[in-house]
Amino acid sequence: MTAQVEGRRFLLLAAGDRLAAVEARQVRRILRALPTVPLPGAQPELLGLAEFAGEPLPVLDLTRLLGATPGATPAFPVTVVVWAGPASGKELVGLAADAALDLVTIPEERVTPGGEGLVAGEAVLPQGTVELLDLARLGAA
Amino acid sequence: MSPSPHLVFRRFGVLWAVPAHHVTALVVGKSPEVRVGDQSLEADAVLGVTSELKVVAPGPVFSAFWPFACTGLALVNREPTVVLAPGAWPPLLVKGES
Repeated sequence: MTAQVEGRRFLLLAAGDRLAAVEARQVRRILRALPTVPLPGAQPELLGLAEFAGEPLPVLDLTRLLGATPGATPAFPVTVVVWAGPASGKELVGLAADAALDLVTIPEERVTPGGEGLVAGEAVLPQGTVELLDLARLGAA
Repeated sequence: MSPSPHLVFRRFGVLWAVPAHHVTALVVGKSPEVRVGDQSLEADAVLGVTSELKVVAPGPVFSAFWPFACTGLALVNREPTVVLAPGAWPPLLVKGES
C-alpha cells in the first residue's frame, strides 16, 4: 500500500536564480515560450502580448516579477498560462519562465508563510528553497 | 464580438485598433496619421479596416502593468491588438505628445 501524502499540488518553475511554485489548479497550459509583441509604455514586468488559443494573452516575466537575477539563456523556456488576479476579476495571463521543472505535492507543514509581493510563503524541497506564489495578488489594488 | 468596424494600424511594432466612426481623416504617405477629432495618432503603417473584432476587456492584471486606458485586447490575423478607447488615446501615440 502506498502512503498518501496530504498537501497541495504545485508546478515548480525556474526563474533566474530562483525557484517558484504555482498551484497546479491555477495552471491552464504549459507551452514552449510563446513569441510576444512588446507593448510600449508597459511596466518592465509585462513582457508583451501573445496569441493563445485564439485569444490575446498578456505575458509577464516571472524573473522580473520575483526580482530575481536573470540566469544564462534558458535551454527550454516556457510560457505557463495561468489564472491570475483577484477573485473578483480572474484573467488568463502567461508567465514566462526559464523552465518548468516538476509537479510536486507540498505538505502544508513544510510551508513557511510570509513573503513580499507575489510570494506567499516558501518551502524547502529536495530541489531547493521554493517560493510559493499567490497569483491572486497580481493586479490586486 | 464588437460588430463595429475598426481601423487597424501599426505603431512601435504593435497593432492598434480605433473604432472607425471616430476616424475623421487619414493622412497617407511616408508618415501616416490617423486623425481622431482634433488629434492625430501617428502610425508606421495603416493596415485597413476590420469589420468585427472579438474584444477582451482588460483585466486587472494587464491594467496593473500597462498604464493606459483601452477598450480591450483583440486579435487581428492572429496578431495581438490593442483596441483603443475613444478620447483616451495613449500619449505615446498622439502626435506632439510622445
